[in-house]
Amino acid sequence: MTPELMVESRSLLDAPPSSHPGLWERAAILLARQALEESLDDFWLARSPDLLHASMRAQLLCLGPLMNNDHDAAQVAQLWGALSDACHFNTYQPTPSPSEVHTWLDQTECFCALLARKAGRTVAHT
Amino acid sequence: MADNSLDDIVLGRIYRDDLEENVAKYVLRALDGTLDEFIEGDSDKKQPSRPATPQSPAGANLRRVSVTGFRGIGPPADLDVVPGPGLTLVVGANGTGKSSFAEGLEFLLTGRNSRWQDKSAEWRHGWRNLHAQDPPELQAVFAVDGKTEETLVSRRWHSTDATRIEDHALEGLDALEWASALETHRPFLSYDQLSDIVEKGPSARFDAMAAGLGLERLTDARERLRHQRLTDQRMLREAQQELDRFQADLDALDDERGRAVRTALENEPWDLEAVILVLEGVLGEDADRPLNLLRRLTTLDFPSAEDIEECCRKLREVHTELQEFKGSNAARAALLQSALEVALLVHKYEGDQPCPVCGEGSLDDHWKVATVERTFDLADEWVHATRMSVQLSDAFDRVGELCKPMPDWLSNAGQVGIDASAVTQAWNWWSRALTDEPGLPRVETRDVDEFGLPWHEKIPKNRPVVRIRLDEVDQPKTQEADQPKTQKVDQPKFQWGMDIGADFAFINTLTDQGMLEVAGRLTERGAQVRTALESLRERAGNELDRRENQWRPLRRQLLEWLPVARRGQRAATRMAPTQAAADWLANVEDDVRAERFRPIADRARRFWETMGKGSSVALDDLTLAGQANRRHLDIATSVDGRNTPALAVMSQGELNALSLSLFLARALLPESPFRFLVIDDPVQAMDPTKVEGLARVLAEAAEERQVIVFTHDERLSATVHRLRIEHKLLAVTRHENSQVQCQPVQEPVRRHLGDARAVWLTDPLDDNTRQRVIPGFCRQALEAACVEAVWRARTSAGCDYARTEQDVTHAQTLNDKLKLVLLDDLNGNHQDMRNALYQRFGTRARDVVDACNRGAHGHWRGGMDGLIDGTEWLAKRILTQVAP
Repeated sequence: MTPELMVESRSLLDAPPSSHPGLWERAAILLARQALEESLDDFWLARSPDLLHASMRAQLLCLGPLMNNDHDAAQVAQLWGALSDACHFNTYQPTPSPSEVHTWLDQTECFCALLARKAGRTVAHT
Repeated sequence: MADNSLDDIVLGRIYRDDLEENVAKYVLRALDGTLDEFIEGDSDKKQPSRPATPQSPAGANLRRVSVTGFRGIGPPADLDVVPGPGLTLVVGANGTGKSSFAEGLEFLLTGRNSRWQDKSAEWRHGWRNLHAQDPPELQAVFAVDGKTEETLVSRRWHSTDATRIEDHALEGLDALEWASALETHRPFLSYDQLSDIVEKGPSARFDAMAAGLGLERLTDARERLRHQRLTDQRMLREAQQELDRFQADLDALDDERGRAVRTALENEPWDLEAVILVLEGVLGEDADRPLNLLRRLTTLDFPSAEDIEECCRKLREVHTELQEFKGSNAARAALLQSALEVALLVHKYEGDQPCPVCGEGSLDDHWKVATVERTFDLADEWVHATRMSVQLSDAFDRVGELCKPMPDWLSNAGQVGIDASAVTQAWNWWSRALTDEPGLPRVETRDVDEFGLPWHEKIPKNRPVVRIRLDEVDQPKTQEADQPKTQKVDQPKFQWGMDIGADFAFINTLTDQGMLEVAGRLTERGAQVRTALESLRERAGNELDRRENQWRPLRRQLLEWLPVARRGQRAATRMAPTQAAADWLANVEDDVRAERFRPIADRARRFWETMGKGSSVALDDLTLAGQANRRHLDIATSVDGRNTPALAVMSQGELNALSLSLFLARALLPESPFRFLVIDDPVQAMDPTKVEGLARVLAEAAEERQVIVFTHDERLSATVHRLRIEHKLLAVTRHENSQVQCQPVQEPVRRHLGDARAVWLTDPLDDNTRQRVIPGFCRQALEAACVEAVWRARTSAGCDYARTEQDVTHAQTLNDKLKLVLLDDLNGNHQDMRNALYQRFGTRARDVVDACNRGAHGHWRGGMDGLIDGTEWLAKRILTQVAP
């Protein structure tokens, strides 16, 4: 599931439909955030199902100890925050630049893989 | 401002101030630019040719800016704007290339860019975009008043590897005639300049503000007068310096020319006419003047030796003849003839008779014939005597003529340093040649009438009456020491002399010996005078030469100096009126500037007050003050009623607001041909209330101008939207390889719904993606509606702006935003919010919100078109019902 969302997200960014320029970057962000959230769900399912329905704030706080890596956990929290901001309407938030979106997608792919590894499963790429 | 009004103002002021006519003339000539002609030709006749009032260029709106390969923009990118007044916001994150449009337009029109103008070479060389496939090009399309077709201005570089920014071709700009307007009504303001306006030096600030007030003609006129005064000063100084060069020579010249020139040049203004008279040799008629005296001394006349000799010869001749006369008894013959004639008369009347004289002979016919014969002979002798008399008279006349007394002015020779005593002495001696006594033999006259001839009246009238004089000779008694030695003449005691008839008044009292004496004296004394005179003439000539030699070089210098002096003199007469004219003009300029700056200042103050709402600093007044290098923009500010230096107490944001106020107030002057204003990044360092003020100020400006604002800060666009200020929003996005796009942005609700719809309608997308993306966009649309509703509600309720902004910023999720809208409380109870949602908008609203929230995380399945429709329905309800 996770990789599929990411693949779709990536393809929206790299090979967007010809119409509505700019739209597909925003769509890619929506997908990336869901990909990250699903990776987290899978992680909790494998490691601590109680947390599956906790608030995102609680999930991100618990991520460090469970991943056994505070640094990575902080980076995931940071990435999620950025993606989440982009997915909400925020008056003063400028439209992310293409390079920003690229970075977020790269990071999301990276952390999805990391979370899958930490969940004890390898991610099957299609 | 129209130039004519300036003329009217000046003329009115001339009248009001009762300006001196001469000064007023300089003012008007300087104003008309005909000062030179006025001064050179000093002709009042020449009517000043007023320079044609420059036609102010036609106004222009901006339609499009196209940028290729310049700064942040690679492939061609267009920024399209709608011509006409209105606000256009161009939004884009830093680095998207939005500023490249602003910079490109500025460079296109001005050939400069204020942002990198003073920066390092690295900055300046970074103008070219390396991703461009095509040669760099800047292009703008304008809608010019009165023109149906578009006006295109472009700068094209020749190749993609152009490195020098100067190497390009400019087209279309000259025809717009914007050169001076671009200086005076700059329509560009970048963030860098924002700080410039207030942070530059006082005079730069003054210049920036005073430009475009239409005072150029006054300033130019004043500059012309100043220049004229400098030229005049220089000319006068030149004349003075040149005079200084020969002043010492002039002081050394000791004659009336020197004195006259010195007197003429003693005080300024110099009496050059007097100098000219001296140079022309006109020194007045005073004969006593040294040069005249000297000249007369050198030409002092005296009878020549020949004349004297001639005169003496005559005297000697007469003397000789007198001797002969005496010898021939001519006088006696005359007397005798008379006696005989008397006898003949006796004989004629009384007939023959014995001689009444001797008594022995007889008077008879025989006697008569002989006697008549004899009277003829005696008559001849008498005629001779008469001639002698005439000669004698002539000779003495001649002596009289020669012996003119010395001219009295000769006694003044000492005044010119010439010792004339020898001449004076000799001449006096000479002039006494006829009168010096003793030494001259003189005769005493006894009239023959004493003898009482009885037939006296019977003598025919045509016949001379002979009177015989008995001359008594005075002997010289002593010889006076100072008298030249006279020849001592041995004189007979009595001498025959004669006086013939009334027609011959021979009154010489000299004896013939005396005549010889006089002749001797003439020769001797004349020679002495001539000798003395020769020396005198030479000395006078030398003195004259000496003075001439001293004078001649000075004269040449004076002649060369005169034109310079005259120029300097004329220049000097102009200095007072030109100075007065310049001073007067400066005052007028100050007044007109103050008057014309007043509306700008008022407007700037109003703008600043709008932007500075909540600031403790009050902007009391803005005035252009001072002159020349003391000129400055006086910014009077106070904090809590106390005067405070503005720049010290204002925050950066306040300073920026002040700069922007000044810029806008000036840029909005009706004279500006630029109907567009380009403002790059005005929001920086502004706090929220200032952003709101900025939006209002921009809105006011946009009523008159096409205001294009580039900003990376979404606060401005949000505020403008929130304040429902009519505007166009453009978003700049940058893609790979510097591909920049600039697209219109709809207001947020519409934009997010548009996004959702576009995803729904786009074909190659699979349903799974649609399911996962559309609810996210729908949720953003609802969030946007909530935020807008909050702002509207709170603004109309007069709520604190900053608190609202804080609340809105903290309301991250849709639920948070709904709490703000429905409960007016960010920390309100979640269930209360849901109840309120249900109560206000019914079940459908709750379903839509749930679908959005879940779907955004991929946890909802349903009809996407229904969701989009529901979202649109709810957004509209929130906006219309919560805050209509």
